[in-house]
Amino acid sequence: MDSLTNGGLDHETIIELLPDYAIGALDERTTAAVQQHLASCQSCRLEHVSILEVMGILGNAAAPDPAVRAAFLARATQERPISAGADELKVPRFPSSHLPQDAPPRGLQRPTPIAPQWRRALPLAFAAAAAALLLLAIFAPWRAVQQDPAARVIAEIVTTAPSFELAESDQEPPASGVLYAEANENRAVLVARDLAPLDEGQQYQIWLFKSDGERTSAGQFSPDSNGQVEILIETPLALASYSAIAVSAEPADGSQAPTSPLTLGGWLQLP
Amino acid sequence: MKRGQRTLGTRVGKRVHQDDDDHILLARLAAGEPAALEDLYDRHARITLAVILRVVRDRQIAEELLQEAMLQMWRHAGRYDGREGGVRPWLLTIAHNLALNELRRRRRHPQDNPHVRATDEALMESLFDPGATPEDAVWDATRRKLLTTAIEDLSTSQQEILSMYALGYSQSEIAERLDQPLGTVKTRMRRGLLQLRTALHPHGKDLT
Repeated sequence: MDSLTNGGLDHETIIELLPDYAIGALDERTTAAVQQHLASCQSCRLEHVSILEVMGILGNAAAPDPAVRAAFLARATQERPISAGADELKVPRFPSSHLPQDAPPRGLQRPTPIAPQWRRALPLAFAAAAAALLLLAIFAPWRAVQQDPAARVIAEIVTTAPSFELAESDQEPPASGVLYAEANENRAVLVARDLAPLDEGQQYQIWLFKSDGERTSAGQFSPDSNGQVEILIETPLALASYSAIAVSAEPADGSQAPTSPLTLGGWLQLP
Repeated sequence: MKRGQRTLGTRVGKRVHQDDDDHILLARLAAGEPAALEDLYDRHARITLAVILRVVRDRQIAEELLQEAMLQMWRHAGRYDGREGGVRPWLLTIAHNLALNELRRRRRHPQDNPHVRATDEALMESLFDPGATPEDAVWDATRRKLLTTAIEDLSTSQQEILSMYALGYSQSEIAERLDQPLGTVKTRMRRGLLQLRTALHPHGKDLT
């Protein structure tokens, strides 16, 4: 195992940390290091799950309120699997020599953590529900999905990676989104909803910003007819290299820099 | 099988074929069979809630996250390939990640989520089920007996450490309270957890 890719923690140290990781007693940086290690170490994943099971048994928690069961069944049965509706993701990469070097666009300037139009953070439950609805709406039927490696990757990232709530825009209705990303990975999943319809010849473009203002495109997409999308983003650098993400409507052949107000955006605080 | 209808007999009867049942359950979920939802919930909700509760220490939030974890299973059932254990490991991993995300959100927005570490008494109170049915009470007694037997096989020191861990103390907190070297606590903790896991594994779902 490469200790440098796990926050400087080696395999044995990670194993010792697993009980504390299980109860959420580690700080964010160490938690991220453990998660990164778990992503690549099967024996630790098995030990981690084993600890969770014992913890759950020892926990001796009372059964959930019956109302929780009823609410879960109601929510689940309201949802219906829907065939994939989003357009196929296009992830063109600009050659690194062509990456714009100028400052992030207005609305994402530091030091304000989140610019005014992004200040209203997405409540957790709403974000989760939004992501959930989108996932359901976009995923293909089971058998087709099982044979789709990209869908499997998306599912794995969504179910294991930390999530970042993207602030909604000031458009009506406000778009919202969640980014699922691991610090040292070059892939993430963006889930968004309520994206405004695009003019003909336009697509949404995803932007990633480094702390020095350097900007790169992370691909383009068209949402489905309901303004929803779930897409796999591939980045030239590990996601920890970026400090912000944004989405803007751009010409279908892509832009070198955002040319319209940002539709979604937020800071990434990946360790 | 709905809550309140369960009996020890049905639990034991299901135990033998639990793994097979889980694979069938996943297929039923992936096929979008609503009835499979009830089985998913009834088999795994309690232990999943316990894991979430240990992390977030708030029963209401834990129950919300339990729902979310279950829903993610429902939505992603078609992607399960069974390479690493059954339904429960997958579900617990999803639930644990959700709980950690909630914890991170609280830490970053403490003003919105005043997080006060629960006292032992408050934590125990939050775990107490005032609405337990007589069947639940009988089941809890049986479960407690199985647990007690497994725990009795641990060394006194391991029992001490694991009982504190069950209350949510970290390894460094345990070391401090027991006045033991951290390395010793970590070693005993790991051995104790693995031993307990080995002892409890044959009982599988019957313990939750």
